Order: sequence, then C-alpha cells, then structure tokens
Amino acid sequence: MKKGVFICKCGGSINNIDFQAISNYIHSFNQIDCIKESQAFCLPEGKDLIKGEIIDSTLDRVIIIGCSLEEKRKIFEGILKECGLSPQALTMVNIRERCAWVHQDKRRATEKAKRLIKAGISHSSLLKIFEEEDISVNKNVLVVGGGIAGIEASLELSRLGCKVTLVEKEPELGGKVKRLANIYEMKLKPGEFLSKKIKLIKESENIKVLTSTEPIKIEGNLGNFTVKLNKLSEEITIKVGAIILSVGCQAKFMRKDYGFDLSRSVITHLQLEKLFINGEEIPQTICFLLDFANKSSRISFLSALKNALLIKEKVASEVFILYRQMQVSGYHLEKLYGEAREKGIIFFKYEDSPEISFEHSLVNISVFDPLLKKRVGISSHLLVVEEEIMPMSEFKELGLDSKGLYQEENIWLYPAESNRRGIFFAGECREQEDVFEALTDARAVAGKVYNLLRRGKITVNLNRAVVEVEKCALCLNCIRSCPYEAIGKEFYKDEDRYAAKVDKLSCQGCGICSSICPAGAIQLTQYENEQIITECASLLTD
Amino acid sequence: MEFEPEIVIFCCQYCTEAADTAGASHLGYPANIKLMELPCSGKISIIYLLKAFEEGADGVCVIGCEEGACHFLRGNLRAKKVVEYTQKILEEIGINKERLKMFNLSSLESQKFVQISKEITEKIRELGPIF
Repeated sequence: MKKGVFICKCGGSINNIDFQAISNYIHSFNQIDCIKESQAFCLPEGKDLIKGEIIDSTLDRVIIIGCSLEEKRKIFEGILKECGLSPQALTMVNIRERCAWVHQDKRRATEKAKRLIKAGISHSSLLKIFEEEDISVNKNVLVVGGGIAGIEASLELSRLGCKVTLVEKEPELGGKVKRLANIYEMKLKPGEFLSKKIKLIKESENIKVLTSTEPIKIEGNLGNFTVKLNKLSEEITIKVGAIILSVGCQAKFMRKDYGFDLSRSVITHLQLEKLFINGEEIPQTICFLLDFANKSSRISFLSALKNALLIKEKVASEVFILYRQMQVSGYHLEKLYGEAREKGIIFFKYEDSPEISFEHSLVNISVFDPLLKKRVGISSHLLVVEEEIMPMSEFKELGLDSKGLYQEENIWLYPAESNRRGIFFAGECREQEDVFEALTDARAVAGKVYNLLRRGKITVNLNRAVVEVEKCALCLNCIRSCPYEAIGKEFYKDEDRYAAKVDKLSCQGCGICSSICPAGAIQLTQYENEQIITECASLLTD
Repeated sequence: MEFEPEIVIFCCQYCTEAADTAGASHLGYPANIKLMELPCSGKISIIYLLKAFEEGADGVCVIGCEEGACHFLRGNLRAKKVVEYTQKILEEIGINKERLKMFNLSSLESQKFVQISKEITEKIRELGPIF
C-alpha cells in the first residue's frame, strides 16, 4: 500500500497553522511514500501535481489535507478516477473549517491539526477498497390503486417506456374523482375527464389493468419485488422492479366529534356532490360548517367554496360558510375565496363551537362572530359537514405518520419514497391533495421511478453493510433493527447454513445493524469497528 | 498549567455539516473538541464510547439529528438508548456519567453546535481529569 499526502494551504486562507511543523510531523511517519505541498490543489496546476504523483509513485491511497467541502471532494475523486483509482482511496482531512478557522491560538490549532492528520493517516491505512458493482433490475412497475394519481402515474410511465401493471380493487378505475360533480377551473366534467384518461390507458400497449384485484403480499427488494395479487380469489404472482402505492384514503363522517348523526338535513361534502351528480333538488338555504372538530384540511375548504359557488350559480339559494380559520393556501384557493365573497356567499367566523339544534326539517345554528362581535342565528334547510380523512388499511408495515397516513422517508429530501427502497407513494395516501396536485404528484413520482430503473441496472452504494457468514448466530437483531427492511435470512450454500443477508440495493449504509450485532458479524464497508476505534485512538494521543 | 480536557464528539454525517458551517462562519469553539464522523448516530456502539475513555478522552459526546428527523428514521433514538446504557456502565466502574452526553441538533444549527462544544468543555474542565 503506497500512501501520498498532499498538504493544501487553500490559497493562503489557513493562516493560523504552522505548516512547517505540520510538514515535519508528516515526515516523521515512515510509511508515507510522497508528501507534496501546494497553495491550492483544487486548481488546474494542483490537480496536475496530484495526477503526476499518483502515476509516478504508483500511489494507491491519497490523503488530502485542507478543506472538506463536498464539492471539492468531487473534484479530487474525479482526479483519482482519471488515474484509475477508486474514489474510496481518497481521505480528506479537514484542517480548515474544523481547525484553523475555529481556533484562535496558533499553537493549539497546530497541535489539533497534527492529531487530525494522524487520524486521517490511520483511517487511510485501514481503508478497504471494494469493486463498484451493478445489479440488474426489473424495469416493470406495479401501480396499486386506480384513482386519478394511479392512472396518471401509469400513463406517464408507459409514455416513458416502462411496462406497468395497474391494480384496482373496485370493478372499475376512477377512484374518488368519479364521485365529484365538478372540478374547479376545469372545463371538462369529472366523468368526461376520467373517461378520456381511461381511454388512453386502454389504448396503451404498456399498461395492463387488473380490476377487482388486491395485492396481498410484497416480497423482495428494490429491483426485484415479487407481489402476490388476489383477483376474485384467484392468486396471481407478478415480478416488478418498483411499486407505486396510490391507494388513496377514506372519507368518514366524524360522528363522535359532532355529536349528531347524518340525516336528510345533515350531509357530508361527498353526499352533496352526489346530489349534484344525480341532479336532485337543492334546498333554499345551505350552511357549510367547517373546522368544527379542529381536524380540518384545506381540501374541505376547497370543496366547500367550490360547491357554494356552484349552488349560487345553479339555484338562487342563500349560502353560509362558518369557519374557524380560513385556510386558503394552495393553487387558486385565494382566488376562489375572493370569487365566493363577490358572488354573495356569506361567511361567519367563529371561535367557540356553534350551537346546533334541529327543528322539523330545519337546522338552527347559533354562532358568535368575533369580527361582528354579535351572535348570529341561521336557519338552514341543509347543513353540510366535513368528513375526516382516514388512511386505507393496506400495507400498515410501511412507515406511517401520526394520522396513520403513509409517512414519506424524508419530507424534504425524499418526499415520495417510503422507508422501503423501491416503494413510492403518489396521491392522497400520503397527503391530502386536490385533483391538479394529484396529477403533478403522480407525474413526478413516475419520473422518479423511471430515473431509478431506466438503465436496467443500479450501482450499489459503496458504503453498505456486509455479513460475515461464519460469525452470524441468527439472533435476528439486525432484521428487527433495520429501518429499511433491507435484511433478511438466507441459506448460504458454500457454508451450508443460514445467516443474515443484506440486500445490496436496499441498504442505505446507516450502520445500525452493525452496531447492534452482538457477534460483530455485520460490518459497514467504510466504517469498520477497527477503523473507528483506531481513528478515535489516534485523535486522542500524540 | 490549566487542565485541558480531551473531548471526542461522535457526530452523524449530517450534524458534521453544522460543525463545518460553524467553521465557515469562523465561530470559535475550544480546540479540545475533536470530531469523529459516523454515517448515522445509530452507528454508535458501547465499545466506541468506552474505548474513547480508555484512550484518554476526558469527555465524550454523541450528536445526532433531532428526534423524529433522523435520515435513517430511528438511528438517533437508538443512539440515545446506547448512551443511556453506557452511562450506567460508567457509573458502575466509578466514572461520573456526566462525562458522556447525547445532544440533538439539525445540520443548520452551527450556533447550537458551538454552544454545545463550549458547554461540554466547561463541564469537563470543572470535573477535572478522568484518571
């Protein structure tokens, strides 16, 4: 193993470290083959110097002392790749942000820099280089749920050239959009809009639709899932590379929170949409009660505003909307609110819950409006209340949030991915969305899935967990602790025994399994126990 | 001469960004602090913590992301358990458990990182050398 140390002065920005002392210190190590200094190794002359040294002294470990900004790391890894070395051979010791720039005292900063360099050199000596590996993956995709999100995701994927199986548990596609009377700012009726999309699905050669079908079990990992489906009690097994869940959500009346039942004069938003679709008579006065149980979402505001306008246009009724806080965040919601006020819909704000009583076919609502500073009484023929959004009962083993809906892996970084690599969420099963948002979401997820599978192979993460089969006692602790369900049990033929097996593609390299393993049978490739302990010891001793 | 404690901070790779940002903005903290980078705070194990004390650390810290915001879902919660367990071991062998502590921060909180560094250094300076 030949090591080269490159000391970068970062263009003179590191000025409270004694570079002469550092240089002498590095010369005192006897297993180093080349030591070079430069003002800036990230500039072309510096790069050429590193390249020349790697080739002349046939180095296979490179230690760069200087900064450790992520972008600079990429530059140096690029140089190593050009010289035919693996980027894993690079170690960067950060004496700028972690030492020179934070410590005033020159003597102590230099002392600390020496320790950091020692730790870096010991880290480099214990580095193991692994070959980069590609694993071939299945390019087919399974979409569960034939709502608008599922339909759009399938169409987008088929346009990109993936073979899609679209599974719907109902006898026909369409989901919740089927139950809407109109979609705000869309000229087409929901029915027409859906049949257009369904026609495209039927025309597409890449999409296979299975209705009245439910998935029972998902096995395997990213790239190679095996899914068992149940189509009218007949079992079908399919193999796919990725899965998009767009199972939607259920809307239920919150009987407990409201304290009264639904009746002819108390209906929910979806029941109101049904009245429109069936063309039934709409009564003279209608009151929407929003946010009563403090569980409201902006989607129920959208549907209340949209339907209030529709009623106002169609029937000359009086429409009231009672709200606690107007939630108009979202595409075109503010405009819709303005329009509703202009058209003469009457809004009342409330803080204390309104009193509701029933009299024959009338609903009497008494509410104190803090803006008017007055109590208002409304007699309405119809009271429209909200539904609570409940999760579907499928795949509870994936990460769920506090409401029981699917939890994204990381809300900022990976908003559409589950905690199992290769399973994605689209549409309302993750968060409430209106039709336009669901369409955008579905297309984005389809793009993400395509990007992952398009090459037909995926490069394995260099930092991942590996199992030493002889040491594994099958205590199953790793299987339980893995946040990504990347570990399973497998029979190893060579050793003639069972042991834990880490799926190469699903492993994200967090190392939880390796630290929980009582036998030390699992190690992270870039952070082995021995490496960490030695590095830590070098940090602490002169 | 004043006692200068040796302190190791085991930090998850996202929290080291807070340390780097502190560096980039020239926020000073004591030179007693030495950072060890781990992929996730969940990678911490009892042996690393005890070995650090054995090799001469006067104080050891574990820094992970905020609870509920771990990039690896539950890594920081596991780290918390490991730290609590190791504190018990330390007490059994007669080492003040205050020498080992766990903190949570997000990758943007460079100020908080500096504050933690100063706090822990002061604390260990007060406690004196470990052996």
